[in-house]
Amino acid sequence: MMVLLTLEGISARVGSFWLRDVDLALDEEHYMVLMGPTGAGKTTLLNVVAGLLRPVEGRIRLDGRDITKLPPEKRPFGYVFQDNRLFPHMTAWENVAFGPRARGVRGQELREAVRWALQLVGAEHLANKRPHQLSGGEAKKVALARALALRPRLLLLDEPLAHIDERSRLELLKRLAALRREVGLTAIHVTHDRLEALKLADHLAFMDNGRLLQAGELEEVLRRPSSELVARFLGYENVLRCRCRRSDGLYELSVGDLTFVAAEGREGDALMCLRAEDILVSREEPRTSARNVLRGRVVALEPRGPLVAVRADVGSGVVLTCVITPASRAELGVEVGVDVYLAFKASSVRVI
Amino acid sequence: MSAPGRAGGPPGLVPFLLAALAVAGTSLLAAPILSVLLLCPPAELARAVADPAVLSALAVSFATATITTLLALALGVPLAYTLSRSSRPVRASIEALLAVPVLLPHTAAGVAILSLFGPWSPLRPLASALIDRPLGIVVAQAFVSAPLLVLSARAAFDDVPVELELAARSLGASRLRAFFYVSLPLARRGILAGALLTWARALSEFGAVVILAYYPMTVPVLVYHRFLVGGLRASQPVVAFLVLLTAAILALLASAGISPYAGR
Repeated sequence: MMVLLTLEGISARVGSFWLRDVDLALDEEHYMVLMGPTGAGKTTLLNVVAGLLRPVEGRIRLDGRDITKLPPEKRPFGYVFQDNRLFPHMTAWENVAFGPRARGVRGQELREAVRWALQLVGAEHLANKRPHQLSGGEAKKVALARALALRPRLLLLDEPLAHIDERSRLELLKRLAALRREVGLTAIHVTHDRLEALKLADHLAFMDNGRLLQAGELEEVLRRPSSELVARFLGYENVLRCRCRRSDGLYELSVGDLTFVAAEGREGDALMCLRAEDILVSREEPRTSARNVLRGRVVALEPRGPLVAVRADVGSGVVLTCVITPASRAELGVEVGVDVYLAFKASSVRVI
Repeated sequence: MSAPGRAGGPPGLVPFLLAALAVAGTSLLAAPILSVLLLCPPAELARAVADPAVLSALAVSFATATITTLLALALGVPLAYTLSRSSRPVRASIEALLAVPVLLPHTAAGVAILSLFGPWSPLRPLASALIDRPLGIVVAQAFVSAPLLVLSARAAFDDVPVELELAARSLGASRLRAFFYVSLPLARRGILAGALLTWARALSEFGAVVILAYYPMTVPVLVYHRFLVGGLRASQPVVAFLVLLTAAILALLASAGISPYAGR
């Protein structure tokens, strides 16, 4: 696999915001999902890659060649902007034809390129519409087709599935996944959505506060989130500072007066991460092989999609979050103020 | 003052006052236009329409105003775009400069242009190409009317998001291509409105033109000349003809969907 793009020590400034010292490498045909809180600098990073923002420091290489000073129009990338930026005075067809035309493609070849791109995203029927006649999902498809029409070496996607209706979202998600398989797409895809990331990514990267926190293969990042922020983004709702110690082939984690058992760990201070879904909730002391069983008092109940999140105080100032179905909530009689038992396996605990 | 008009006063007083003021305002504007046309003996009007001097002045006016507008487009649109994308201080100072010819009394504007070719100026040798020449008319018209196009086009470019230009460049378009295929078409309406204002201003310009070029006579200079020589009797038929012509032009523009004062 060839390295397509490398960022070396990139720093860039937008107003008072700084992107600092970003190192990143992307291989051909890799699909990297870039996550992080709002204002982390994800879009800024895409702008630097696209050449719309000149970095203050650092280098960008494409196939090993330094392209730091190459203007955006000379970079073989396609950019799908968060706000689409379709040209309002052109039809969808003309929008998609804009890139190939700028590169001198004309006639039959141009019509072919536009048709190919529109077909790829399922937008042939929108060819003659103007941007103001398109729904959010349709406009996004056209923007995607426009970026694809140049057959870019790298596709930059800035929250492509945000702010569109659920049906279009699922359809586009499917199309992106298909594109990945069929045309060997290389992409950097910015999103807030964990499920989107898990569905598309083979590589994950996290940013916060203008810095790249972690980047790597999907499995690796899922298994070893490098920080609390990454762990929380990956869905570990319970992240506790703990002291970790080896014992009997397992690890003992102490948080205040509480002690947990984990199948993995290391000596010293660490973060204990636990998914809400991995905690079993009951009213009676459970008969289970789970190594961790504690008593707690329910302090809050919150709807969580089709489920209910239960927040239970287990002492030492620790509040754990678990989820149960509304049916088990009714059956168990879980209310604020009642005592419950929480159980989870040693193998469910991630120590970072 | 206690609760005004609506609550305390008799109902309908404010609408009545407004209607009365509107009628008064319209009458004040309409009266001279109607009187110059309707109080002109038809035979005199017919003579003015066939008068070679009037027709020649019309030709000179239309030709020079059109050349002035094309010149203003060629130089003004790039300037407008540059201003729109400039930093605030640069833009404010250049726009203040552009406002001077518009605000200056137009005879004063004419004198200012003339000073550029006056006895103390190194450009003096060029004076003969301007004074009493069509070129002089164009320069005088351009000086006072081109700023209107620049300001209107600048406002139009302000409404074109820089993000769209960046999107164009991310799609492989050079700066020039992004300008011609994205910014310019999107600013088209504002530029056309500006061009129309410039053309109208150039057509009706008297003060600056008369200082630089009494001859060849444009319509405004001819009207002034006829008035000096023969008073109202000599100038009214020409003006009556102009009113008819103006109405025709406005009707033509309206049928093309263009309104010079619609602002966009």
